[in-house]
Amino acid sequence: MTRNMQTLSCRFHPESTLIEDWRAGDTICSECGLVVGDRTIDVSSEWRTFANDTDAKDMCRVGGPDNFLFDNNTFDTMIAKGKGKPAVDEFGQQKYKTTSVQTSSGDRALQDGYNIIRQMANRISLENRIVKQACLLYKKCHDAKCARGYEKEAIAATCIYISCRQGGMPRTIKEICGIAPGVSKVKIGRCFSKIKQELPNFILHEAVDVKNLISRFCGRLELKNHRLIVKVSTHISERAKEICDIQSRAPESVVGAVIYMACAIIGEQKPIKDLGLATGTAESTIRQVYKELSLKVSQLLPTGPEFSACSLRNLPKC
Amino acid sequence: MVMMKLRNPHCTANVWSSGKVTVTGTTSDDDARRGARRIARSLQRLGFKVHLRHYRVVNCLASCSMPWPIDIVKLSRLYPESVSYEPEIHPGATVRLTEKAVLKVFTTGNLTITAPCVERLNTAVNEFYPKLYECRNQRQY
Repeated sequence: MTRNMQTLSCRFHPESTLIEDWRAGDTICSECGLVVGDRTIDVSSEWRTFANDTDAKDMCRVGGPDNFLFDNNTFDTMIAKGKGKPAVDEFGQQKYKTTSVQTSSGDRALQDGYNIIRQMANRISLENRIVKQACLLYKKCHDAKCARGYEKEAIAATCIYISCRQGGMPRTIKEICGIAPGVSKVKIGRCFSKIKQELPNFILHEAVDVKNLISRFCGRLELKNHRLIVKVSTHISERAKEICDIQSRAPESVVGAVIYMACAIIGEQKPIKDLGLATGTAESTIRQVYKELSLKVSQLLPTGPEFSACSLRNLPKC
Repeated sequence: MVMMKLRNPHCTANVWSSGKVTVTGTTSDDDARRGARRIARSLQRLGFKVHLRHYRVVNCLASCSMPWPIDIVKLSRLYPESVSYEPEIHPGATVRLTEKAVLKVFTTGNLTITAPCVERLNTAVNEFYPKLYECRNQRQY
């Protein structure tokens, strides 16, 4: 709705400031008192509400703020709880109730999607802000119609994947497949590529951040020297990105091999099978990446007083 | 849909009951045309009254390799609008050029090019070569 912005000004004093009188809804010139604009709508809050006023009647007559998750062009009518005899029928029940909330079909599709997202997110206890981001992303995809042809669960899973990544706590696609039954890795990959291509202004800054993955997977392994191993692993993975030939490897495979190496160096060696289960990768993949890393082991190790427990003696060959 | 395979030229044809035929798997566009004509001829011999109509080349796939390995992470960082690299999904980076050509770039230096015609395949490589050269991996593993 484009309209030329009406710049109000007093015709006798064009430079004077205008005072807004909310009581009468007038805009008054401060120099001569001429009423320049009338019927100004005050959009501030009508009543003040306090935190301890939970049971008190909500005096606000316009309802709550807009929920960005839904298309807000439908207006609903709600019938308040009535008091007095005419409002109550013979059994003591309210005579008139807000029976069915008429949601439009577009809203219903969105609502289904949001429910699916919330259910999936609950399975891995994602943070509230990530879930909200995922819902917003779902709405964007729905409006832009960019993921047509994919089922709701697939789009929901992809939205969760993207919002986890954007929120700084990436979940691997395999983990998302775990919380989304019926959605395969391939489908999420395709949906993700489609959304990346077609959604305007879609920016996914970094590649999957490995630090977060390392700390999570180490947590799954129940290590004694958890913090030290996480530090060593982070250092190794950053060095390995620069010097080793592991560019095309999936991040979870790299993390698996790196944690394996870190555990071996510190002396708390874990079998590759455990690593495979914790990261969700195959043992042979971890072995392959580990072989690549072990070619340059001496350059990958961290140096410093706190890393004195690291030794190359216990490094397994495979 | 019936799948017909020819020995010479080596190709696979998908024949639909509507009359549409897709010929895939040949190594040159001339071979593709010969294969399409062979399919049409074999259908004529079977008794169907068919003609080869609306023949056109739809998709060409080529592969080549650069003599040096490529740093695809650097490539995806320098040109984020055209290069998409998701190691979880595919080990190669996908490059979408402005005019209907898609390259898949791998760390080994191999390239796979997909384009709607053969000429575009060549121009696509020429177009993207300077950027690949910029992102080559100088280190010897």
